[in-house]
Amino acid sequence: MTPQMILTMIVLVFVIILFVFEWVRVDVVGIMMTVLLPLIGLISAKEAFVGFSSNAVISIIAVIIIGAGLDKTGVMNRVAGPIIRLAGASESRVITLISGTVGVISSMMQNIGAAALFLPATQRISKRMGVPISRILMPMGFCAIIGGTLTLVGASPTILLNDLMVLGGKKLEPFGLFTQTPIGLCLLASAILYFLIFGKFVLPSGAGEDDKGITASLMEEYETLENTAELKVSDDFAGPRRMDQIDIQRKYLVTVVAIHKTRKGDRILIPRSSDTLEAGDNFAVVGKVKNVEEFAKEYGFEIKPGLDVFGESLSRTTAGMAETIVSPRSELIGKTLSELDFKTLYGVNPVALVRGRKVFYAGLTHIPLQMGDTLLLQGPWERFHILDNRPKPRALTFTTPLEGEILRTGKAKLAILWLLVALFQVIFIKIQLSVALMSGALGMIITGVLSVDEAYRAVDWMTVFLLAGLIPLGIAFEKTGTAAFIAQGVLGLMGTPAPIILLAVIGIMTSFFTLVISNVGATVLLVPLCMNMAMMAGGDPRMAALVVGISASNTFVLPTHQVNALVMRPGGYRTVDYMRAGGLMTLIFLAVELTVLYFFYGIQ
Amino acid sequence: MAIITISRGCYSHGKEIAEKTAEILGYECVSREILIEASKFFNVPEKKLLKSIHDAPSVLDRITRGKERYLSYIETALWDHVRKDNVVYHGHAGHLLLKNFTRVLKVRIIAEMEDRVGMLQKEKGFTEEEAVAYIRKDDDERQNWTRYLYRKEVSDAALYDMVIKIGAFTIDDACELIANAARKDTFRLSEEGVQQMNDMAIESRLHGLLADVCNAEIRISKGMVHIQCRPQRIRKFDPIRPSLAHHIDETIREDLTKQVTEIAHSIPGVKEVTCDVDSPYYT
Repeated sequence: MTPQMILTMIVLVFVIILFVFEWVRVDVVGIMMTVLLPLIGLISAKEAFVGFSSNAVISIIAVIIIGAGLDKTGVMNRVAGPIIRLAGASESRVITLISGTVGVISSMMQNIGAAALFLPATQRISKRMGVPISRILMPMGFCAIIGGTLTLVGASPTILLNDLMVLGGKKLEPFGLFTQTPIGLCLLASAILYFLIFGKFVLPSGAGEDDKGITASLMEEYETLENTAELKVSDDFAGPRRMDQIDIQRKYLVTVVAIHKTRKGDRILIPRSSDTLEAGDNFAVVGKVKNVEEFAKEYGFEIKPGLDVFGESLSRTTAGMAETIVSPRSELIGKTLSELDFKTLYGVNPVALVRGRKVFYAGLTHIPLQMGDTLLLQGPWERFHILDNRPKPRALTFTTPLEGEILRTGKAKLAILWLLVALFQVIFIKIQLSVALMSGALGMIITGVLSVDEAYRAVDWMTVFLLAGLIPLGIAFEKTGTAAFIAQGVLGLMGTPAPIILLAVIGIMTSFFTLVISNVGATVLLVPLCMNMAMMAGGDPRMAALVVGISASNTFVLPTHQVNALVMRPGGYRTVDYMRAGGLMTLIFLAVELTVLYFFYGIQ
Repeated sequence: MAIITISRGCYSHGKEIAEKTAEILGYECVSREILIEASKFFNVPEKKLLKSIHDAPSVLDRITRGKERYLSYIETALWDHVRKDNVVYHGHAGHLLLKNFTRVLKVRIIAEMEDRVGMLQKEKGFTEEEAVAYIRKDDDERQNWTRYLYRKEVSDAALYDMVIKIGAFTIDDACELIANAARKDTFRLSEEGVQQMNDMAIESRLHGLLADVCNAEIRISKGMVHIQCRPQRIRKFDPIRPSLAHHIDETIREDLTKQVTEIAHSIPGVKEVTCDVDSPYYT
């Protein structure tokens, strides 16, 4: 054992301790390595920062920009809509379609992004179908994690592989974007099957929490606003009648927030007093259940059991409520909303006005505004964001957070085009992954899918520094011969197992390490070690690296995993549920991974 | 009109004294009932609860803080009993479980080693050596337990209002002494005392119910509860856009706030709840 090996081992132990006890954040451990390793002479100063120009880091930056572009243009929302509609028939269909889609989406996007995208819609579906939400959310979350194994860029550990696959100073042949896809697909299918068959036994059936968000909290605060309801105008309604003729706001304290003109197929999201209601129209109102019932009874309107026509346009992710205050020196002071033509000017529905202790739900448009008045507004989130982005001082100051974001739906096709361009280069031109993906990202920036500043803001610096910082550690581990030394020791204890047995051991070891230390940490430490072990045992070192990369996503028992943490409360799960359902999933994951390797990758 | 806790080592006549004192005063005498009720309410096997209150903490306990959780369950059941007033509790660590409440008569019963050994030998047919080893082990377990959880020594007389050694005093003398002390006005519950006790009962129940949910600091006054939840730790696994990360952090924070508030409201006697939760942090 050389002094360099001893030094490397000391650093390794130090890093593992830092990872296990989490005294500093994982990315800080990475930065420490870029400084510590050249300082103690294990690698050169140039090698210390080679991680920043690595394939992995550039690929991850590019993938995250492409993902941001797809999000910004609402491509994913467009996928979500039809899937949700298709799914809404039976429990098993909901689980299969939603989990499958989330899995596929997270193969190219951030895992948690796909889960977050489908979360509100899933909550809505489960409520509508009366299926416990806990039966759907965990499968969805697990599939988001597994989705990361579908492509090389789906999860951090596999992105790292090509940069870590150096053996005896020689770079091994890199993996393609889809080398691992058969394994990923089988894992995804087995996860879905697992939950379809055993879901009832391993998942709790208790109801989780409702999808509430800021709008629901605001509606709780304003006692006259209890519910958003959708009504249908009966066929025998004598109309068309103007909204001000019906005058429901004054009589019933109910505000109409959307009208769907069935005949023309128009959807009016900011209804005015001049708009009309006629037979067959659908419309949505906000108000107390009792008041809505009385109002519907008087006019013979039918109250629908939930949001139907407006299911998407009034969903939590698309529209909501915000509380605003009339700012000092606002141009609104002293004027009434109708004088200002507020709805045209602002494009949102005023629902209530609070002045001192009084709350006005009707006749809002005729009250001259004063500084400090609170206006409760309802409308599409996009409008609110536009208002919030106006130069300061603004006429209205927002006091509640806004959800959603401004979407550039017009650029959706361009976003898809650039994704396809990147994939085309990867599959057919076989150009290096980072170049292909970065060209897709650049295309999005140049064609205005997202601005370069938005692209910079989208980058996750924590992951960049984590990957870039730990790559040199992997290099030092291999270069100093420490990996080979430990591999020899381990094989000395184990004997020379058959390649598939060795891969099984590697898979189990990685699954364990990834729970204790981070997934990237486990990959950096285990790839050099396992490649050496595989080579010494006469196996394929690349396959050993692949098993490490994929098994590092085997993290289902951890409620602290970001995806699991997101679905934990909405699904009403407890830690023990992750242990039970996730524990079995962990075993299935390993079994399926090894089976696919055995049958399809020529490992014996 | 008092609450009496009797702390004792094994085979120190504690149980006998507790039962007799309760009989003299006409009080309820509770011990194992507490465990049964806690086990029912929180759906935890009684065996686990007993282990948590008797055995010294294992390394795993120290990491998972499992003992603290079970203790808060036991404390909740104990509070529910003592709230009824006129209770003699002779289970484990009553004086420590009710530590923040001053109007409890805390008694410690000790006995000579020979006396204890004799009793054990008679009951279980042990040899003298076996009996001494058994008692030593049991004493050590309890000592370690209080040291770990409360940083206190069981033998510290300052923890108790009375320490009675059975020997010169007979069991009947001890019961008489305790009963006389319990009749003192000092241990009579005032209205404030009842309120304080209600608050503490709510606090311990809340601790128990929140054990699985988050790590929280609870302040409570006259049924008004303020909960400060420590931020949730999330492991970074995959890259995530900062704006999306922010949205997810907020979602998790809101969900947690809602869950904690609902749990607090579900406890009888809670009038108002405020809850502060910090955004989660990444490790």
